[in-house]
Amino acid sequence: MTDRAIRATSLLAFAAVVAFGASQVELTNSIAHFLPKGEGSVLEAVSRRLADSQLSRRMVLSVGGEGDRIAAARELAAALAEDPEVEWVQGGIDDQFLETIYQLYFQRRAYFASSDPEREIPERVTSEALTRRAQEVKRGLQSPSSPLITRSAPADPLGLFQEIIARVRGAETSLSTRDGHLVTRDGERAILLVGLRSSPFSYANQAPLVDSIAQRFAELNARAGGGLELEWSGVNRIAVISERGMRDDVNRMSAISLAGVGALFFFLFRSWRSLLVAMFPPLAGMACALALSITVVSPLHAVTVGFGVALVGVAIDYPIHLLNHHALARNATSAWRTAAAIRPSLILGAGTTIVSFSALMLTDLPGISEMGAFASVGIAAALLVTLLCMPAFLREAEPVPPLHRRSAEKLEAWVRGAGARPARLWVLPLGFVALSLWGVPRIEWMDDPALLTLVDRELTDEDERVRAAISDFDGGRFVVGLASDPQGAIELNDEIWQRVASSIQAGELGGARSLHSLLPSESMQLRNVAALRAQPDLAEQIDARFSGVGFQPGAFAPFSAYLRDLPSPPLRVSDLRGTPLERLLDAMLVPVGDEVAVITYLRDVRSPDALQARLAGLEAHYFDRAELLREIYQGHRKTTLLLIVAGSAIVFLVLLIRYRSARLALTAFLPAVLVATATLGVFGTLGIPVNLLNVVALILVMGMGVDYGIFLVDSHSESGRLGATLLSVLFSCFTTVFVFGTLSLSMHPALRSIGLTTGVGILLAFVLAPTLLVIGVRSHRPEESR
Amino acid sequence: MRSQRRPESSSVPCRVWFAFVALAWAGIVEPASAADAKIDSLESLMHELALTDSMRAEYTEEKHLALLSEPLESEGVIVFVRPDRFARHTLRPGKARLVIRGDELLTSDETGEDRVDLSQSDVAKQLVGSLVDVLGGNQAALQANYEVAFQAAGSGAWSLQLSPRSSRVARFVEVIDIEGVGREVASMALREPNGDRTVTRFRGFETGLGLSEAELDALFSAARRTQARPTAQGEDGGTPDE
Repeated sequence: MTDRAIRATSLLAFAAVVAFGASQVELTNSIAHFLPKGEGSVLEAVSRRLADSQLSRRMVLSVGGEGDRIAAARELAAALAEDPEVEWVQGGIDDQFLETIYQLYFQRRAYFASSDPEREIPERVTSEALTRRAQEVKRGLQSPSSPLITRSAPADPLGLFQEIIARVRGAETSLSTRDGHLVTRDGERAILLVGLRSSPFSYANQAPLVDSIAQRFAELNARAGGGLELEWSGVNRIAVISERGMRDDVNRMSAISLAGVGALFFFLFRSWRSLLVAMFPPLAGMACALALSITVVSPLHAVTVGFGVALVGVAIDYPIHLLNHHALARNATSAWRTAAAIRPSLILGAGTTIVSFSALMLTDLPGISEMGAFASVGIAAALLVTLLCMPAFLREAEPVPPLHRRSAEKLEAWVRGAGARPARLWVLPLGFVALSLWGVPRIEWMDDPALLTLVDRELTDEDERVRAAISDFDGGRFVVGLASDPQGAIELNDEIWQRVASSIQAGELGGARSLHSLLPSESMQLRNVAALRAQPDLAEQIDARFSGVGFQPGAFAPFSAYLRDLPSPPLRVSDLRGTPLERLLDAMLVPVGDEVAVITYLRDVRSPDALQARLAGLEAHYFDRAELLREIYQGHRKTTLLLIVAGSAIVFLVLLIRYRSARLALTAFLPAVLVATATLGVFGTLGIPVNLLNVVALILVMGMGVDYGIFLVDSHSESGRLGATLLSVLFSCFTTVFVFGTLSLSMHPALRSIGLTTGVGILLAFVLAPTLLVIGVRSHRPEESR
Repeated sequence: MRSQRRPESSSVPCRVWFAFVALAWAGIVEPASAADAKIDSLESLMHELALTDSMRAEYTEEKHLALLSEPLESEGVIVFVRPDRFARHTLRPGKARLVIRGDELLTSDETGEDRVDLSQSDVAKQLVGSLVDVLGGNQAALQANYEVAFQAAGSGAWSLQLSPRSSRVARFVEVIDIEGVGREVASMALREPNGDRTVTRFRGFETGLGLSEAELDALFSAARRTQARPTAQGEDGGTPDE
């Protein structure tokens, strides 16, 4: 194939891959990508499940400020009800809701008398208790609602249905209502609850909804005089705004990186063409990685794409190496020949980097694994394009600016000159060792994944405010019970509720919202009926005590008949399906893989250990999501460090096989290891917290550190070639530092972590690699390296 | 415990009196007693009632319920402030308080307090709100919820018969009979389909209470269980929970 044909084919293929990637790519900022996907512990599974469950598919809008807030909320609700992304909107508790509760519970009231029927029911039907109850009913008859009481009391003298209503309303929401609309308890804000049809992390679905709400509210606020204000709570809104921020961030970083790298190229080569040619392999590599990734995983995490942009800084090393060696070749030769000459170094360098990144694919954090796969594919593709396509774009004799050649010669002279006094050079690696020993033990590990996602503080504060206004239950602390099926979970929940209730009574817990309020187990319901029926002469007792305070004898005969006949079977999950209570049920009974989790929401957890101790012996756990995620991340950070060690051992083995000399293998390998530990040492010394992504970024640093080592070792024996390599390494170092330097300016904390680690690491690598080369090869004869 | 003093109406009676007489002479104010008002239609009744910005009366109530062996009797004070605030303080047999503020119903007694959003339930709203609509002369609301039959009985006396339009409300209320003279409601009788009856009689009507903001807050606030007992004369009154 001719050079022209190769150029045309490769450019066409590149355009096709870019077009495919650009048209198909969908980004996400979901924290679920950084939660374990494997079996893990059940709590990990619950955590992952909750991150993208029905619970996160909802949004709360809170209208406050000056003006008719309720009217504005109603108008907004009407508009939302027509939005295709909105599954349901709730602005009030209507008659239908109350009617549903009546239909479901009134005829079943005896099933719900108590959560400890054998103990509590006898206490409720003592003479004193019945007399107190009779007086209470009589007092109620003096109120305007007496017509309601006169109808319900004969069939329900114990007030069982009244208690059910109180429990269900307590479980439903802590909101109040005004003019039939949901408002906060202080009445200052009108509330809308909104259910979403698709994932809150789906940008394509959520962005139009978020924009539409903002626009609609702006319109109605303008009509209302401009005094209203809207606050939101919802994962979807945060995800949409974050993704927009990420897109802007990636675009900005790409522009700055390309401009910076372009300027460097122009300074060194005085040729825009060289820049374009050198950019082709890394861009092609990233385009291939993107295209391949989205065919396997969609949506891609924004951090992966940001990481991909950063990889340009690594992959550009290969074309720079080729470009430099070809330009500085003493005799005019074809680019294909130059490529063939440096091919072993490039393959070895890229291969070791790919090995390092491939190790990341073994982790069960989807986000990290995704980054490992993306980098491996991207680096491999960039290498192939460098070796198989790029020479076709280079002329036989590339013009070389005088500065370029002079720089290479001076670098080579300096390194070879330094070899005459190798003892002094030991100061540098020993300094790195000292820095590592001092700094690494002082590292502050930061294992909270929430800190790695891009979230605007104002948005999260607003989200917190709205959530606090509608519910005082802690969104991140639960008791989770697990069973093989819904029925088992509900039965387990009876016992969980007993323990949680005793914890509340002991002051370890402020309160709880449990499925038990809506749906105790069938066996518990039947126990209630049995306990009521077991009370000797209950009908006569009620009749006697109530008539004692002025009720007509025999007035409560309907209750006796009800208890005898029981017109409805116990309440089951299926009875709640299709009713307004279904949403509550779904928030508390969550499928997790093959199991079913029953979740009890907690308020004001004062003693987690005591609560956990009370749950002993049950298939239930106290679950502090933030604490759990910290533990998970700590584990993964340690695992990733071990993977790096294992990957490094493989890399060293490969180098040993390649060079058949421990000294040369160490010369190529040690810069990477020392730079990684020294980078961590810098962070520990300066008090910069280190997270999982810093550790991942160390692989980048080590990959490039090994590349530098290999390139230098491979070229040290040949006069003139070492200069070209040193210049390549210097240039690569500049481009990398430039790319990752811009990454450290990113708004996204994860990308900032990667940028900072890589920027610091590569600078250290550039200093260390030539130094170790001089030390390592000072007594090594050129023939040995061949 | 002494209840709050009403500073305005009791401390400046002379000034109010002179101002009133001066305005009357100037023909700006036409003093009219309740009985003087000409009431010969529902519209004229509602018009007259709508002129009352605030009122207070004592009440006695008898409930004849099939559920009880004896009628249930109670007595206390009602206060109405236009447009939609109403309080009923029961003094006997037990202390209890009921406050309506628009669509909000607050109740309290020795066992605790409760708040109900009346807009959630048409039935509750109509059961509680019919007297407020009458006292406020809210003809539109009355006619929206009830078939209203008006009868004039001469000398300013009148009677209203309210039959619920909603079948759901009709399950609890068969008819409400209200009688009065001029701007004063004398009695209200609520009859239920099951034969239960509640008869409330009012006396000691006072209008134009001139309540200050603090007194209004005290009367109609959610949490206060001890309240001033306002009168047009400015005397301190007992409180339901004292």
